[in-house]
Amino acid sequence: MSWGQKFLEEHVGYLQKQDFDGLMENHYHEDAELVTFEFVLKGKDAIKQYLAVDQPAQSGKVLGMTMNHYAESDDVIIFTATVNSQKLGVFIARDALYVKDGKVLRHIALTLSPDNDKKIYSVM
Amino acid sequence: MGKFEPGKGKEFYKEQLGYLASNDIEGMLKNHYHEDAVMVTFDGIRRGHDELRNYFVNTLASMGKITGLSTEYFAETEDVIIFKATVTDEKRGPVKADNALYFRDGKIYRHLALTILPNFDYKKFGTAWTE
Repeated sequence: MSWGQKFLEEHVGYLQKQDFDGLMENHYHEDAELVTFEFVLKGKDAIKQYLAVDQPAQSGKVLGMTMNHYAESDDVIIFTATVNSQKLGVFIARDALYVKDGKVLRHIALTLSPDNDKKIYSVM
Repeated sequence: MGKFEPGKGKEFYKEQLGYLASNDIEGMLKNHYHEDAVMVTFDGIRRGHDELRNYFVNTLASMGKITGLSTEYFAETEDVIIFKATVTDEKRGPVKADNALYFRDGKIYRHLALTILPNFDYKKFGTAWTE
């Protein structure tokens, strides 16, 4: 297993166990930022609030997740995954992680809501 | 403008499109890409200007005449630009470009493209997740 696959497996493990303190401590850099088309979160506290509280409230329980594409370099992980969530239904997660000193410095999510995703990808 | 400046991400992005439209790969590499830039995609990793030059030259050569370009989503921070665009050319048809640019010293340090190309065998290449 590559470093990136191991890192991602641990990352998902923290989320499944809802161990957000462990996730922040071990996987997110002090200066981490989460960048999306809807908002930008700076720092561990803001990211933890989103992952532990805001995102679950918005999407509900994750019922299933299937990885579609994955690639990594020395300090980057990119992946797409199909996620089935209780409230949003099925959507495609498109994420990129820039890792510095073994921790995520920039978490970039190109994910859209299911409706918006369907609108722009339906032309493909 | 050359270097990326916070708050002027759209100008940088438009300049990047201009370099590509005019096939000015040298200008784009010199002014927009850090010397240690790495591009990470599902169809390969390109490290440094030489590999990026080969990538852009080959990609532009493989495309037909561009018949459409639209940017659907765009956001920026002090050191990141993200965007979704649709590029349509006569050979490939519409391609949804999902990109993130991470900057260092005003230049692209990591170019992360989550674009899925038509007719590319990701399973054979090893980036389609199989488990």
